[in-house]
Amino acid sequence: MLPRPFRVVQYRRELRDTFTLTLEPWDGPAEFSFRPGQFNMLYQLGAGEVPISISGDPARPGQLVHTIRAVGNVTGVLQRCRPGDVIGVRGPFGTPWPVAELVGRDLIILTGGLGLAPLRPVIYSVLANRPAYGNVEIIYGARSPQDLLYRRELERWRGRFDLRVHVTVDSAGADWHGNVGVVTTLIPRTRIDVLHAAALICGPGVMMRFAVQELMKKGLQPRDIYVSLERNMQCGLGLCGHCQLGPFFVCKDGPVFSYERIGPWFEKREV
Amino acid sequence: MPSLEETLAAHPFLAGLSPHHLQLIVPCASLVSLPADQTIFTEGDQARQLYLLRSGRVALSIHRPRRGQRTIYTLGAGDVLGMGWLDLPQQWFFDARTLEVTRAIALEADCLARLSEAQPELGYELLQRFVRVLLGKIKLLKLQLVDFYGS
Ligand SMILES: Cc1cc2nc3c(=O)[nH]c(=O)nc-3n(C[C@H](O)[C@H](O)[C@H](O)COP(=O)(O)OP(=O)(O)OC[C@H]3O[C@@H](n4cnc5c(N)ncnc54)[C@H](O)[C@@H]3O)c2cc1C
Ligand code: FES
Repeated sequence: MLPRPFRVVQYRRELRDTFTLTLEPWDGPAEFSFRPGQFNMLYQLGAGEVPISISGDPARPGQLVHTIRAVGNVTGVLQRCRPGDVIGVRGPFGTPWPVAELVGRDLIILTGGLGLAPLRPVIYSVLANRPAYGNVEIIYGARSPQDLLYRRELERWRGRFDLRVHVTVDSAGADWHGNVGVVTTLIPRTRIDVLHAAALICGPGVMMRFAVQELMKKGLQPRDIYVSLERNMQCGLGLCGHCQLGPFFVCKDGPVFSYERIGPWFEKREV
Repeated sequence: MPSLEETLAAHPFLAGLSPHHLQLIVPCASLVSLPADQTIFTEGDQARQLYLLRSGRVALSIHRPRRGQRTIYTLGAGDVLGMGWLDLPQQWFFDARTLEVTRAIALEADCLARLSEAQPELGYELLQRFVRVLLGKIKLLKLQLVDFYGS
């Protein structure tokens, strides 16, 4: 599968090291359909290719939105992209969050740091079809108030009467009136019917591990907990084996898995 | 309106305690309602009470000279606030301030200590619960120390 050229139409600085690129097909308007949770391989000539989740609104397939943290070689080059620049895109790849299957259920959307980016399309989809779901609770954690991603959107969601948004940071000055403590401390405060609820979790491995423990303590079953995994990737097609985790290829069988399926392999560290 | 004993029984910290033990605790307890932005205690003050939070939110913070106040964690309904009296010199080691209107059960520490000595079975029950709360707090603070969100 060859990369397709896309033009950067917007660059937006989110945080010190994090930015959002909005892309449109280079050869004129076209739709790029995807499902929440899927990712693309973004290619920069001379630098390489990286898997990046799609963080835009699935109902607006004319534009492709990616939020990226500059951590190394390729993401560092992507950070220097500006409107007009062209980058290669392969995708969408991977399994989506089961947004349609969860209709009628209470939802806990739990995330930390950059993990909000892959879950934002879920939030857009749920809000577009809000009456179809039960109680919806978003729990989001970051290192400090300065590290909160999509802050204005979080504030907008928080203002809604049909959504509860809990935000927490690890430490803060006196001007912060929100919660302080790790995200798992907020799980007991959610108002859900554990028998009819599902949780969608995305964030660093250590956060997801403790979140799963706390959700199970609350009474959720492994089959009702979904996690999105990150693994080093190369082909994105289930061919090279780079992303293998036990019997799974994360690029093809994931990145979204039910905890019931991935549980035994979840604790395995990447080598 | 529920009795004080029922209110005590409904708090997760005391859940499961026998009716006899709950009755013994009642004389140590009072209900408090605090407005938002009220100081509950200040670092260095004598620690004489334990608060079982029923609603609202409280920030625990530490004052750093020239750098101002830093919030270490926040507590809410179901949480236990204030165990400085468990150790000598029985002083608070944080500042506590309400972020919202907060309702709590205040328990007099001296009263609990006297009860525990007179009724070792109840003392053991309470001690087990304090250890659980403290271990939970240590675990959470450890997680706060690692870069939990990978930023
Ligand atoms: C399914 C999936 C979705 C992802 N979605 C996003 C996203 O939406 N936004 C985003 O910013 N990042 C996302 N990532 C992570 C992103 O792919 C890596 O940060 C990127 O590959 C790093 O490449 P680099 O060349 O910039 O860094 P390198 O120079 O290759 O490495 C720099 C550092 O990053 C670490 N690293 C490299 N690859 C990964 C990886 N795949 N996962 C974790 N750490 C890695 C290395 O260990 C090293 O410490 C996703 C990864 C996967 C697998
Ligand atoms: S990235 Fe090649 S098999 Fe998954």
